[in-house]
Amino acid sequence: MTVATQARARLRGQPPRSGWLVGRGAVLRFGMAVTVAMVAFGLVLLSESTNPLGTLRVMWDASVGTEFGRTEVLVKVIPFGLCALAVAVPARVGLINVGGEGQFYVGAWAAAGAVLYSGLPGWALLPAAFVAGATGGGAWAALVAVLRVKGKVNEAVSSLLLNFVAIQFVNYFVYGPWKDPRGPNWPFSPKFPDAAMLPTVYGDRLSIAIAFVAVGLVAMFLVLRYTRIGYHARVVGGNAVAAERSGIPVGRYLFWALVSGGAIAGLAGMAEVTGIQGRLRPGISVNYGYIGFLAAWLGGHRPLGILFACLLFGAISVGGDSLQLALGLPGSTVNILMALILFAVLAGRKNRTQVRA
Amino acid sequence: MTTLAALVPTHVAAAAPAALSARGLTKRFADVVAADSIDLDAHSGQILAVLGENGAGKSTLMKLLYGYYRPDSGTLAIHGRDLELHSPASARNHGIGMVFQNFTLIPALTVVENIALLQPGRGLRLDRRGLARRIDELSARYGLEVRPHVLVGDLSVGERQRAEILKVLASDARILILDEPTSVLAPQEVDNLLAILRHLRDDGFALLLITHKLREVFACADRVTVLRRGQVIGGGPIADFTSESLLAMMLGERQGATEVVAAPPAAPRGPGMRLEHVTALGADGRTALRDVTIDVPAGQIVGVAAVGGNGQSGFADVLIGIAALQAGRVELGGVDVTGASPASRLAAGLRIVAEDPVAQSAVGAMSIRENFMLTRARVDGKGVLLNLRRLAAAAAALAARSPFPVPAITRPLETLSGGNVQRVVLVRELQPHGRFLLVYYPSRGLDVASSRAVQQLIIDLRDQGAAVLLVSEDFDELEALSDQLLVMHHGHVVGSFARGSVDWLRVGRLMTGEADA
Repeated sequence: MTVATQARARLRGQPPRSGWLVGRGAVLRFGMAVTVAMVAFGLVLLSESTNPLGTLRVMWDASVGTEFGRTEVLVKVIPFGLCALAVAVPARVGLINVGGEGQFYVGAWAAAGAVLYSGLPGWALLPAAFVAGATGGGAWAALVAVLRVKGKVNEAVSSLLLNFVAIQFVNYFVYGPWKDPRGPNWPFSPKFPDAAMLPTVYGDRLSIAIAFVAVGLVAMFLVLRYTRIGYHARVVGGNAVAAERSGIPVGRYLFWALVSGGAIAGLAGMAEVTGIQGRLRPGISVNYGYIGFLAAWLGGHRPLGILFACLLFGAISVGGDSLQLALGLPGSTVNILMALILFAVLAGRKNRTQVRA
Repeated sequence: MTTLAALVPTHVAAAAPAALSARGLTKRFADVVAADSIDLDAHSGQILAVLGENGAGKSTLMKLLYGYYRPDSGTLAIHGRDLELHSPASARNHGIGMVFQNFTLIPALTVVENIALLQPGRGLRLDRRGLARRIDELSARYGLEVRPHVLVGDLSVGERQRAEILKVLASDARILILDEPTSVLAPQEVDNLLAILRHLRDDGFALLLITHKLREVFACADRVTVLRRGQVIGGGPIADFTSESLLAMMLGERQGATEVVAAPPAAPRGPGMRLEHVTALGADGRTALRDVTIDVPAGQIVGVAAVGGNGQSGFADVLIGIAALQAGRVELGGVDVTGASPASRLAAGLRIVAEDPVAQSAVGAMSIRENFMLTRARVDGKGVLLNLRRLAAAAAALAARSPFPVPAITRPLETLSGGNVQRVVLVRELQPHGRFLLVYYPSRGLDVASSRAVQQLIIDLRDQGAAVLLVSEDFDELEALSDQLLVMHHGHVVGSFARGSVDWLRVGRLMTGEADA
């Protein structure tokens, strides 16, 4: 009996404790897993008759090797990091949010609406876009949260399915009512006024939104570690039955964790349209929601882990763009590498949960 | 079918070796000896009843016989040949089949498909028709009526059980272990099942019937083996026993209890916990409290004796306010809290030592300190920030005040044994601010010194005015602590005894449904 109960406890095992890192040796295991994934990726390249070392060299030069590349990596960290937080926050109460992509789109849509159609003065446009982006993403996630809390609908399934709805929802607006009447008949919204563009902090592409990521990561750590709601959230994630019996309103925590996650993904969408695109158009997310999901799991839903994972994926992503130009490889080649890294890291985890008698 | 026809004749000569025999079977878990040098013989053409209270070691013994656990010492033999079981699969290969209490059928598959799962390896093709024919033959022969092509999820409980038995029979098992097979059945289905078991016995199967119900033992068993606290207390041909003598063996000698602290009598001190005509579903949607009225006055301990699964689990969810009541009301300290939130009930002083502490009241991934906070955090104010220093100090003080040793409070709970998790939860919940205590199995998994300390703690809290509802499987403990003892069966309170007037034989009969209230 004791064996069974211990096994059950282990199965319920949420990420233990609240530290920045997964544990001692985590960095080493992480490095080894990345190496293994790199080697496997090299084999894939060989099968395409491409020189793996040359490819890695190109990727390195394009991302970490130049100042421009390094800045571009940070530019990618904005959507990756926010979308990863959108997964990690619900994950800490035991929920799986695969809806980052849809929440990103709805956040971008809401921010664009606030910029273009609110009629607010210039100085108020960015704050309005910020609030609208977070609200849009949060509201989209609230659909999932209500289904989960009231109807016991699996949140992974509903959040994933709503992604497709969100994309079509945005398409409707950019092909229809929000299409730029003065544009060349492309599905673009009108261009945002300059007052609605986020200020840059380095070069002309890295916007102040990188601070959203930093604040988000630090806030996640502080809230989980030092606040009552953070502690309660960890109890809910660790054992929902015990939480309920301790008087913690479990449903409320599930709801707000999902809504917060959605709001953060919505901010990523806001940062994309007000920091990079300057308008709403289809395809504003290049799988950011899904890459954020990988990054969150890779980082063990912990702030520092997420940061590392996002930097790594940012570098791979920026390097991947150059593969297309320099070697004529399809840009999606790097998706293979990201997936391999995730698998290698998951397989190499120390306290892998396994079903026991 | 040929295998069935070739079976040894019924009621084999006494000289034949037992179909399944165990010698000195022993299994320890961290702090507990669950099976202590158990000897047992199950003969072909006989039904052996293994009788014992919950926690007597029945399920451990069964899992040893079915290869689910490997014994620390002791041997198993089939038809006189020694063998070692490495897994349930190897048990099945040796003709041992198990009919589980919680059926292991897959609801989304049909009966035939489920039975096909246990067929010893035979290629990729699923011969539905051949198998269905075989199932028809078996079910006609033993009266095991099922609809072979219906999804298991659409079957009634009784039909599922018959499918489960068919599954075992179809896998050519000759030794059947049945784990409390009647616990899920309605009374008329029980008689039907017992008839089937007798039929199987007459066809030469060796049957092991795990049960705590005397009626069934007398209705079908040829021999009986009684377990208590992991040991074989006695046994033999059923004709040698009466229900009184079996009950006395199951429950143990009641006179001169030694290992418990006896509570001096105390007077009630006003309203405590009160359930009034409460009807509620249990967490599993099956067991339930049925029109239960219980009054636990302040300054009193009310004990509850019941066989597991007779509704006593429901007290926790009803008192804390998680279970939706179908009828009735709940009072704490004279105040109606029927609609109140769990948090407000906790604030009123309700404390629960859960039935399954690991699953219901602790977080495995957190440290002992953080698990202690589960109480402290909800007690200490409402601010946004946790006062970590004060909480740490409070946790250290809690550990220091504990009447028994608690492991280092920084250790993650999931690294502890079941007994230590129990200690952590006991220390957390049995604090002086508790006014209404629901305590399940306080001394489970604890050594003698620790259990005495816990029992003393419960008595002290009572004497400080707490109302205590105590659910236990340890009769010595119940007798020593309870000011009033209730007996539950099937979700009903079927008996009530005042301190000093407990008739244990009658309690046993009430618990097992032998006697009516």
